[in-house]
Amino acid sequence: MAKDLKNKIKTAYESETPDLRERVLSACENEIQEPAPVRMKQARKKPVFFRRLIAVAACLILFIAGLSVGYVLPEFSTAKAEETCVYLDVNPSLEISLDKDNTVLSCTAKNADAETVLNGMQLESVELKTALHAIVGSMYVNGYLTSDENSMLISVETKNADKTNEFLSYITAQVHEVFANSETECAIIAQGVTANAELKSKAEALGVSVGKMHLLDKMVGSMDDLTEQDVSELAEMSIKDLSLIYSAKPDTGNKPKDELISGSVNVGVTMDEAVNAVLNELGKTAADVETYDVRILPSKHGKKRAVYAVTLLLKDGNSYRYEVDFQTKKVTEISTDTSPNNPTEPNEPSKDHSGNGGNSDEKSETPKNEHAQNPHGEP
Amino acid sequence: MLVVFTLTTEKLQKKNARIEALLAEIANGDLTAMGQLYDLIKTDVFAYALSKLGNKSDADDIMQDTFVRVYKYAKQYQPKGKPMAWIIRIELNLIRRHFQVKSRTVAFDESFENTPSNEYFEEDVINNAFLREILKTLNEDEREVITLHIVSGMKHREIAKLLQKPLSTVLSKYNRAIKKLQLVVKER
Repeated sequence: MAKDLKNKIKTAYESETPDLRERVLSACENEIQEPAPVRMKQARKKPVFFRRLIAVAACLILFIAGLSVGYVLPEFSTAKAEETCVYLDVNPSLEISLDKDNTVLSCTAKNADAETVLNGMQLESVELKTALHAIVGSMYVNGYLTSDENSMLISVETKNADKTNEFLSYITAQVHEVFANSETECAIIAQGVTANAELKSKAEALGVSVGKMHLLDKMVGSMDDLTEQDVSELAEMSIKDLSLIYSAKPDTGNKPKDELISGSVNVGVTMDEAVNAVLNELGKTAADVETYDVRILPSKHGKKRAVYAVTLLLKDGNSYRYEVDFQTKKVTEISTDTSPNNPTEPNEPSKDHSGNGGNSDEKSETPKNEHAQNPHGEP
Repeated sequence: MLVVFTLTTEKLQKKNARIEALLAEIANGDLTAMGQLYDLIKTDVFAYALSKLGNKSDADDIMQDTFVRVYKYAKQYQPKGKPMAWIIRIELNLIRRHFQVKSRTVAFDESFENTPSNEYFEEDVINNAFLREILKTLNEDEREVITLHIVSGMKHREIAKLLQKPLSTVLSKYNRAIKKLQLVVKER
């Protein structure tokens, strides 16, 4: 009876199995195979006698070496020393510790998402390139890096500070290589970092990685629009939003030497579209504008998101400050300053508006302004 | 009884050895070997997807994606005599991902009032009456254990390890499922 039943079950599934052979093979044809993980070479087994002899000799050498080293250098440790630490932040945050040969000593997940990314991967003793490909590939497969969420923060701390930039270029290139055959591009901020006690304690207090903390410090230090009070809010923002704000900051000529910014963050609304959405909201055209300014800043509405902060000064003397959402083009009023000489009020000002309703591009061309803050072109 | 068990085990070992040999060829980009692997385990892969998803068109998609991933990651397979567990784990990850995406999509779709529900798709129709009964009578966990043991030939201990569940749970689910299906057969 049981055997009959088992056969019945098996046959039932067999009869229903579709024929996808051609589909599968044609899909495989277009697929690039992942490389095999690098493993430690296994020594060829020697005869038992030699193995014993070698073992005894090795013990003797180690004993003598241990005595000598212990005498000369008491603090000497036989464990492989960490030479470099690489911090990766997307939302999953990981820490990769490397020895002097750039072989992975350990790879630690710093949050639950990172555990999903690692998913039991054994990266110890693997070379950096292989580890990076495996980690970034897993981030992509698990949906942490997509065409919408395409930002990554790479922070490197190495004992040989002269090599920091070499590391930044190498790691950045490896991450881009993972996406070489896909439509997704990764926007990367790569930076050198010194994880001293102060930075570590600040990072711990805010619940962020050392790399993210360092970026926040740099943002506050280099952007007039941000203050120390903004740090806690910035800490809760995604790497994508931070990347947008930082990449579009005004160029003061004081770019850190150990920093490399590459790729562009994907946004649904361009800077020009944001300005036109505001003009559309006000019922004005480019001809009405005296001057304007657009920056990428954290939202004033406590949403912990980056927005276009658009400031318009119209020829009638009125000035307006609006925020425009990157993805939805939603327009939100921040402040209005009406000139006492011109009591004209904007058209039914409201606290929250959608910029999607009208086709602003048809209504007005974007006004020209030399003060517009967009040193990298469109984000 | 012991003879039957030994024969089954031997057959399974041969199948696993064959899969491992094919995976080694696939690791070198051999598409012919990929076709042979497809022929050898297509029912295993499809049955597991159907048992988890209960929907034929989704199961078809997962089946195709599983084979493509097996091809893609073949170089990373370490021969340990249990290739089916490796393949099913790939499939299980895809299914979990599918559920995650679906839950997000459903939440998004709910915002549209006119979205048709319970739409009829021809490819969702399961022709085999007994298979329809299996899908109706057993819950997802029971179907999962039944297909892994009966269709893929995995041992209960292997299933427990794969699903990270206690062996006793796997055994009780299996026995309960068999009893339910025996009743179905009796009533037919």
